[in-house]
Amino acid sequence: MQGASNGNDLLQVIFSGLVTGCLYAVVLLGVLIVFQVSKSMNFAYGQVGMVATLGGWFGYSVLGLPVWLALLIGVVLAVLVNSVIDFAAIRRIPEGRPGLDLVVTLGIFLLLTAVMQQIVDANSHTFLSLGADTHRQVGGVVVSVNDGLVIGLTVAVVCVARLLLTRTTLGTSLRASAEDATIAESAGVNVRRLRTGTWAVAGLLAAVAGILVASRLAVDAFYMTPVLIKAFIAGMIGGLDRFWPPLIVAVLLGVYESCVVFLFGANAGTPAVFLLIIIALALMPKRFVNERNEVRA
Amino acid sequence: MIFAAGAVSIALVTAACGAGATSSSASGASGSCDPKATGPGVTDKQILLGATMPLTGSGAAGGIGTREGQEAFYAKLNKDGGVQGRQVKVNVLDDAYDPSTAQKQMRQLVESDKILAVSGGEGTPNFLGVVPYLKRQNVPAIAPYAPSDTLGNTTNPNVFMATVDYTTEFEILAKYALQQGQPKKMALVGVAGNVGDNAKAGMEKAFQGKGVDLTYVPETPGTTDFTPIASQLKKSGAEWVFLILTNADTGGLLQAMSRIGYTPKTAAWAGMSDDSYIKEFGALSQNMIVALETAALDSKNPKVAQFVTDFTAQTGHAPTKFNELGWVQAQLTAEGLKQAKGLSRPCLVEALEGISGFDTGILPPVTWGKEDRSGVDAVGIGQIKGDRLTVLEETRSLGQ
Repeated sequence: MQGASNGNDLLQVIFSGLVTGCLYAVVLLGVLIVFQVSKSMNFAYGQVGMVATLGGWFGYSVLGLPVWLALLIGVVLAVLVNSVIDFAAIRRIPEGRPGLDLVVTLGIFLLLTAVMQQIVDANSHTFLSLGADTHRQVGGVVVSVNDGLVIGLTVAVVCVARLLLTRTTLGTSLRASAEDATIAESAGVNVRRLRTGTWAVAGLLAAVAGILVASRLAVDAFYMTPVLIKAFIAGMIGGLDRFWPPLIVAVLLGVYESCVVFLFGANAGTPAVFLLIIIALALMPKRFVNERNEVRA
Repeated sequence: MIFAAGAVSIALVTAACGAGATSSSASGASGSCDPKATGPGVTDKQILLGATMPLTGSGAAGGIGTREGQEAFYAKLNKDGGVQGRQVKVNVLDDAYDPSTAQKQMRQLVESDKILAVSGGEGTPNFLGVVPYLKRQNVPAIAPYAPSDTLGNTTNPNVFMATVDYTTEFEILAKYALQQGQPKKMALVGVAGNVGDNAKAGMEKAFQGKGVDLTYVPETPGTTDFTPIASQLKKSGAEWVFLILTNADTGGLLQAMSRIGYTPKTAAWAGMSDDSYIKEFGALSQNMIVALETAALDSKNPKVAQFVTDFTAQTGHAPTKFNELGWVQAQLTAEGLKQAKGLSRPCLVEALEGISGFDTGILPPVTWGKEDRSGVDAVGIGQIKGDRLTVLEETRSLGQ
């Protein structure tokens, strides 16, 4: 009897890790498409999602706007903010200054945090539960509507992104400009517009991820940071120039982290994740790493 | 050659004596009180105090509220004539809840701004980061909100505490829980490190000889999935779960516990008695027992009612718990300055050591002495019901 209970507990933990991993994957998807098109890392990406969600919360909770309108404004804000980050900052970084994008976006991270703390506040707030409190048991595992929403949206968003990238003219143009922007431009691709569009779509994804994460935890000016860190870790391990491997790593990372916390305690979670990076870097084939360096350069 | 060496030695000894004399007379809290001497930060018109608090970052809500409480008190005090014929000014710098930033900012306050004393503060790890420096510099610190077992005793005689440490708080809370039935299994989820360890030590003290199993789960702020912790707690079979986490993490854990159908009785540290927590997470925290370090804002105590009136008049809005905390920190600091025979650090320390049973209405009566830096040894007990906090016991000490 005790064994069955333990088995159910572990299944529950694996399932919740899977859902958390899906959230990492949605965040990572935005990071991936931006990196692949503009070769830039955006440390402020989580804060773009925070702007959408905390802004949305402020809209419906403090200003009294209808929920749908407040969320829509939040999403539009995220799209605008991410596009402006590219247009006003990233694009201005001169070539041959590797690492400057990290410094610039770190500054934007702090700026967005301070601005939202000033406009809204520094407290944590409960967000729309989006079905988190409606659940039923399936095979001994408690599954909520929110779990289904997260998994369903992740699958949908990832599949749409994959189809766009591989089956459409837009995807071909994106891949062409990622390979060599100059050649793509001479072939008639409007690289600048494409790039702005990519950052805007990434902003939209950040907003979606931000809303989903907040529905399971709470929203404040910092709540997206741990999620973004895990997404970056999955990107590092899986390769930011690839599509499926980093996203699969993101989902597995959620499961791995949850199992470690359940089996060895909450204190073990963060060290275990960083241990995973060291092991992955040590065991990863050199070809895999070199290929990524070429893209980053 | 011998003459030169001798001259150098004399010069060095003289310099050393001079330096010693300067530091003990100008800035030392050690030594006896000379009523005619004035300390750093004191002019004919002003007394300068300082504090560091998290004004940005994850702990900003507490710091901003505490600063506002202090500023409101000093504004009223100055309007009423100040202290010893001088206006009181407090410089509050942002430490972002980070010990190394707090150290840098405290150096700025002590060495550059030249404050007389530290007026309050908010946050344990950041304040603990400056304690060794304050001790070296002999700067008195009055009523910081930094519950820790390393403070409130003569190991750090320059820090005068006015809230119980987490060990005492959780011992009192756990004893209260024991009186509500005969629980055999209890659990604690606490922020990993000094905070969680202190709470655990308090619960262990309360459970001595009672045959209660305690499961302790240390947590790191920023957890993205609380289901594993909730599952661990469920597996332990704990009838009570005690919590000492941030607001967001407390809410996240309670949500995960509810999701997996685990609904034990809950108890939490005093931070959960704040309106900002109850407003946001009250629905998840129904019937949660909470420690009360400060009086409920709707208390019938006339001193609390007066505070609410005065604060509202100063700021134009009703106070929060952190405003209350900042107000009482400033009130205790001002009381020390009022009773000091002179405006120097040794005189301030002497005055603080003489404070006995000082009743703010907000805190249990505060008493310090030559060997006593703890200030208070009691907390109140409250319960979250609906969207309100019900006071079950105004003050409860370890003996009860």
